[in-house]
Amino acid sequence: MDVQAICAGLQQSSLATSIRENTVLFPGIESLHVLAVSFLVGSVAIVDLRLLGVRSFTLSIRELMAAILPLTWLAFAAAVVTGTLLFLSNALEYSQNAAFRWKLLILILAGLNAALFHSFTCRGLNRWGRALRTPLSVRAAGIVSLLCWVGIVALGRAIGFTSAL
Amino acid sequence: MATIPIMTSTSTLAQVSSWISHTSLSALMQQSEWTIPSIQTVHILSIAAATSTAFLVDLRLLGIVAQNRPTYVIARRLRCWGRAALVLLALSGSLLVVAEPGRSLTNVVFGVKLLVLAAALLSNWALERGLCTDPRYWEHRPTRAMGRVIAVMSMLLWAGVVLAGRLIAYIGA
Repeated sequence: MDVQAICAGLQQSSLATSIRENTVLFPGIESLHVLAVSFLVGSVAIVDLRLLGVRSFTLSIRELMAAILPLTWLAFAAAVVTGTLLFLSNALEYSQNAAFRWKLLILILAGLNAALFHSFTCRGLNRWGRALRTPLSVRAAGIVSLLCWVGIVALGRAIGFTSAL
Repeated sequence: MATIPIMTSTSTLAQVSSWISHTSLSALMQQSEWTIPSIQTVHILSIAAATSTAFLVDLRLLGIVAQNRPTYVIARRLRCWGRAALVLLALSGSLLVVAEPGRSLTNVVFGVKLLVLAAALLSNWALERGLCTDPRYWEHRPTRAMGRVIAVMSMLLWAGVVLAGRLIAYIGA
């Protein structure tokens, strides 16, 4: 599977071309991407901080996650859609961009961390769900998540500065 | 990326911008290739915190999130974070202006961004004032509709701040 050829092909599509060449479309989609990522990171941070023992607007971790995570998912969906559109417009260049590749990697890492937390660590939610001093595995999940998302934002910013590996 | 040049007069802003660009702090920040992107990342993270805290209070006021907690509890708990985010935003933003004064001070979009930001902060403040007077201020019938309008406006304005911030790179001198 030739990734380069696929990306080159994607870039030639009419959708990609119209985004790339339109002076309003690209900045507009980019702004929506930044907005979606902003709310995604901000909302995740609230949950992560609670996992680290920082009091939030509700003591119960279960309740906090139930209140916030649906919104986080919405923001994530918007970020993925806008991000994909942005990627398509210059697929070949982005696929060769070091910062972009690292961004995707860390995104996957954040996803794995979240999956692990929700599938396994959360089995003990009834034990520590109302505690401020949470178990190590919970705090680890929180810290890893925070670090990943800060990294993703930084790498997102760096895309414009970096070129090929 | 097409940049549309905008005519700027050699006004006081241009003179201030020129003066700033000659300070040692400005030169220091432009020395390393990664100083400005790092501060921009802090700026983006503070925007994330500011918009998220504002959005959550707005969404709660509109009855969309955390309906089992009163609005004033949500607002009170998020207040410190929101304020810290604004301080960081002001600091990082100021540093960015010092580092690249021409990019912002002589750019009309930057001025628009500050205006929209002021409006967003005003709407946040209005909601907060109500909650400080009476925790259920925005739930009484006379003020309910107004509260919802302000909440929606607040979200649109913060989105506008992000949009204007991004457009600085595309429009202007």
